[in-house]
Formats: sequence, structure tokens, C-alpha cells
Amino acid sequence: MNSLSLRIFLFFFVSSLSRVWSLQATPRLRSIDRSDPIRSMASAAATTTKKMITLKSSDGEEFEVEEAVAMESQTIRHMIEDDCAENGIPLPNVTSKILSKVIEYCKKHVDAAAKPSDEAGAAAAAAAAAAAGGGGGKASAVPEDDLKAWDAEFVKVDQTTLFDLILAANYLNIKGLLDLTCQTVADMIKGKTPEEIRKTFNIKNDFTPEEEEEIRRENQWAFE
Amino acid sequence: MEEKHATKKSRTDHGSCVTAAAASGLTGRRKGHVDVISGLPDCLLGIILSLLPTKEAARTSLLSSRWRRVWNTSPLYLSDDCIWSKKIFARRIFGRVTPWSRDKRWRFHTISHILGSHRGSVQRFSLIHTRFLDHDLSVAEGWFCILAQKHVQEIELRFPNDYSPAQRWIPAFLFACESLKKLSLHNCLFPAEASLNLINLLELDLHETEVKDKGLRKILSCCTALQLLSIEDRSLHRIHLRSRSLRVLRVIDCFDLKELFIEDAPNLQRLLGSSLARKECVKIVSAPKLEMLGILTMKIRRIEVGTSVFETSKERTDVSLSTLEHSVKILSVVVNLGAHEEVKMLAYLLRCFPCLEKLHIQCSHNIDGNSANNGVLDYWEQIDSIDCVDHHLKIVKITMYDGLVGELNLAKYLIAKARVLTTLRIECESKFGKRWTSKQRSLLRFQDRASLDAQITFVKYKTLFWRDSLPKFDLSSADPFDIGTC
Repeated sequence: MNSLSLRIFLFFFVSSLSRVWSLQATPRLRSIDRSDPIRSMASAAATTTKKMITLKSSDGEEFEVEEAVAMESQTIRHMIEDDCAENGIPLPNVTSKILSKVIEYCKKHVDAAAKPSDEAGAAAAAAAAAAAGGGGGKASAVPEDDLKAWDAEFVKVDQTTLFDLILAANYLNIKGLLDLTCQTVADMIKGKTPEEIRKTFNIKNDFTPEEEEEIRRENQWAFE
Repeated sequence: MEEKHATKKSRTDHGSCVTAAAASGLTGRRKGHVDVISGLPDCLLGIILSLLPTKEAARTSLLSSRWRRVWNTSPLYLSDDCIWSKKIFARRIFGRVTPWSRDKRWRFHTISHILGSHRGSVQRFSLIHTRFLDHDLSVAEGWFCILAQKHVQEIELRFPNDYSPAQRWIPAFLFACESLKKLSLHNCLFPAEASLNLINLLELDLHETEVKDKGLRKILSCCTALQLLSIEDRSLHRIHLRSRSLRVLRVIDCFDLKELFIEDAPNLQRLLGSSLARKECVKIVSAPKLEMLGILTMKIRRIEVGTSVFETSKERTDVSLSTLEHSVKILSVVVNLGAHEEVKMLAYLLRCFPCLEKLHIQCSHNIDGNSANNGVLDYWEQIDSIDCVDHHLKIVKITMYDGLVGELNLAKYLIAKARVLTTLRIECESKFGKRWTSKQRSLLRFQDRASLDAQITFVKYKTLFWRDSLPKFDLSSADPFDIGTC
């Protein structure tokens, strides 16, 4: 073999080696199945195929969601991290009606967070300056105000559903949803006298007049 | 290791609340007039009550027997903001002379009563209106004792400016309270000899506490978990920052400060202030994660960033650029675009931060109303290209824009050169109207812009109370200099 063809052979050999090395250096995506590294690397390099997680409600219905959406729940996130999520995740404390609402919330917030912040700023600035003759608005990102408005609509439900959402948010450990629902209830209580609160929530007053008097005396400062 | 332990602890806390929820049994309900809220477990009701003012939260004990003990045993959020008596308040309104001290005394006794009778832990204790009269200091000391025993997590104390030094006293063992995560002290006297044990403190806000250089050094070395620090103190001469945990530092109105020296802050992300480098030297030796910097004044006394030195003196501008800070993404400056020295300084500074993505410019104007001196007129057209403007700058906000020559030239430069610019937001103070803005638009030559995605918006500038225009002091806001905007 002459030196030229040897050099050509070496060149191709070295370049193929470097390709293998760069493939190994690709950081493994967290969402891909850990048990199969080669397939995971290939799919990580190829397309953005998202891993789906199956959630099973208490009444047997199954919901398939993207892993990123499911990970909004810290409970589910820990289960995935502890590798207990292979055959779907059973949620015996959550009915299908509530679970579908929870998934809707998580999906909306994951999508909103995915938009880059400067686009959101641009859209917000354009929207704010629209009246002042600003340059044409770009209707793309979800500004903070839009998300807040969506949240406000989301919690306009009957009391039973609202409290079921609180319990589900607590069980699934979704901080944003828990904060939102608890704030909604707090707003329903604010500014009302005890009698009005009882009426709003159908709380039965099981105190005798003497007991009521005693409670008023105990915390007199609150009732002045 | 500690993070794992913290995660485990939060998992167990959450777990106990969940089992309580399961045990409370919301089964077998029928639709209609059903009391659902009382079925929630105590921990969730506690969360709801924490969102109510203290007075209203305490009133829920009257709702039903289920609710009787809820507030009393949930973590207490005590803020004297909402502790006032209708009777006393009403008397003052209807002209009857009731001394102000009577209201204060009532509030004082109420707080004592609450701290004494509440059974749960204390989450937050905030005193804004309550005043300790001289002879009540021993009672107040008792309060802090109880707070320490109940593992208080947040304390906010605001004393009035007119207190005598004796009245500004706070007990030293407040600083030995391990459970404290957030501490805010306004006009209190920092006890110099206190032994600090605030190992869990995350956020500290000191306003006129006469902490002095030595006290601040002590705080920085003892509070190993401190992430946010805001200082506004006339007693400080030198701030020497060595902290592995600190992420946000805000320095406001430290009028006697001579030097702000960031020696070793590997996690510092935000360095904020109201007009940094006007009086003091700012020296940043090691802050590799610094992302947000401002509000810098271009009348710089001296800034050292790595080995780059910026210094304006009367005869010349000393700049040597040998290191570039690649981490800084957001910069906020105050600059007089009609003054040649300041404009040059701005350009030099921009060269120092090649990855800058967002720029806030506040235009200051000459008091005597002189038009720009000649050096400025074509400065921007003649300088070499600036890295960050060409490749990274996405959003620019110019406030107090008056359409003066210097300001116009800078805006024209940015439009012509910034290739990835998406937004140029111009806030106009004195002149604002359809004709004026369209004239500005034509002057800016928008059609020759370098970035096709760029948009210009003109907005009327909203004058804010100066304290509201300070950079935001938190970790969550994406841009601490975005104040008073949508």
C-alpha cells in the first residue's frame, strides 16, 4: 500500500473515531429511560420525542401526560426519581374529574414557563404601549397578566371542586396550584363577619350562647 | 448531603399533611348544602388562615367547634398592621380627644396577649406600628424570648426615625435564634456584642441599624446560608464581601461608604444599588456568576471589574480593558448623554460586558440645560463595533428621554447596529404626543434598522416615589430593574 492511500485510510479512521467520541460526550437527557444508554443517546441526539407518563385516577381512568407536565407535581417527581413510575402512577386519592383539571393547570403553566422571558417582555411592552401609538404588537408569548387571568378563570368553580383541588394539590405537592386555590378561599373569607362566613361555606354553628361568649372573651381583641 | 436531608424533611412534612387529609375523610358527601371546608385537615386550614390578616384569622375560632382551635394551633402570622381597635379608632374619628398613646398601649397589650395564649409555632412576626414606651422594654424582651422558643422564621421590626438610641434597642439573643430565615430591621440598633447564630438565615434587610463595618463582617461570616442582603446604612465605610452563599446584594444610600469590595462571591448573581460608584469605589475581584448589575452612574469615581479599571478624573478617563465579564446579562445605568466623558464611559463599559442582553438607560440632564458638547455629536457614528451590541443585545429601555441630540444619537446607533434587538422601549418624560413621537420615529430612521424583528415603543414615563424605583430585592423577578412597568 503506498503512503497516500495509507494516509487517506488513516484520515477516515481518525475522523470516524472522533465522531464516536463526540457521541459519547453528548449529555444524557434526564427524561430518557436510564436503562438503555445507547438508544437514549441516539434519541437525544435525534428528535425531541417526549416521554409520556401514565397517571391512573381513583376511578380507574388513565391519563397520559408529558413527563415535564407530570413533574410539576413533586410527589410524582420523586416517584420518577425513585424509579417507581414504570407501569404508570396510581393516584388513589384523586378522581378523574379533578385529575383532568390538575393536568390542565400543569400543562398551562409548563407551556407558559417555556416561552423565553424577553419575548414575553416584548409582547407585554407592545401591549402596554398599544394605546400610546407603539409599533405593532407581536402576538406570541404568554405575558404574566394573561397567565394570572387564566388562573382566575380556572378557579371559578363550585366549592366542592375547589376543595377537592386543594386536597389534590396538597397530595400531589404542586405549590403553584395550592397557593392559587388557598388564596381563592382566603379571598372568600376576607372581610366577612363570622356569620357571613358560615353562610358562604354552610358551616353549622354548634356553639351554645355561653360558649360563644367565652370565645369572644378569650380573643376579645379580634372581635372589637 | 444537606440538600438531600432538606428534601427528605420536606417530604416527611408533606407526607404527614397528606395522611391527615386522607384520614379526615371527605367520603360519602352529597351535593347541596354541605360544609366542605370544615373537612379539610388542620394543616391546610392553617395555610388558608396564614393568608388572612391576623385579626380575621383569629375570628374564625367563632365559626364552629371544629374551627375553635384551628387558628390557635396553626403557625402564627402576627402583623401589627391589622391589630387595631374599632372602638378606639372610632373615638378618634368622631372628634373625641383620645391620646394616641391609648391606641399604642392597647396594641401593645394585645400583642402580649396573643403571644402568651397562642399554642402553635410562630411563622412571622412583624411590628410596624407598635412603639415600645420606655418602661415596656422588659415586656418586649419577653416577647422575643417567646419568639425564640417558638422557632420564629421571619421577623420584621420597623421603629420610627425619631426614636432615641435607648428606644432603638433590640435584645441580643434575637441574633441567636437559629430558626430565623428572614430578618428585616429598620431603625433598630444592631447590638455590636451579640453572638450571632443565624445559621439558617436566608434574607437580611438592614436599614439604618448602625451595623458598622465590623458588625457587617461578623454577619457575613456567621450567616453561612445567607442569600439575599440589602443594606442601607450611614455608618458603613467599607463593605468587604466574602460569602459563598450570597446571591443578591443591594446597597442603597450608604452615604459614607468609601469602598464596595466584592472579593469572593462565587454565587453572587445580582449586584444592585441606587447609584453605585458615584461616591464609592466599586471593586469586583471574583463574582463569576454575576448576571445583573446596576444602577451604575456614569460619573464614575472608580470601578474595577477583574483587572479592568474605569476611572473618570478631571483630566482624563482611565480605562484599561483586560478582562471581560461574560456572565453579565442585564445592566442598568444613569448617564448624561450630552456629556462626552460619560458617553465614552458608557461605551467602554459596554465593551466590558460582551454578552449583555438587556440594557436600561436612564438619561440624566444637565441642570444648566446646555446642549451636548461637540465631542458627542458624532461619537456613536465613529466608534468601533461593540460586541454586545452586535451579537447579544435584545432589549433596551431608555427612560427620561427628551429627544436631545445625545439621546437621539444613541438610539440611532442602537437601531442601526444591534442585530438581534427585539425591543427598544423609550419612556418620555416631558415631551410626549403623537406628533412628537412620529417625528422621533422618522429621526431614528427605523427603516434602516439592523434587526428586522426590532420594535420601538414610546411610552409616557410615570414618575415614581424614589423608594419605589429602587431595584427589586428578590430572587424571583426576572429583571430587578423593571419597575413601574406592566
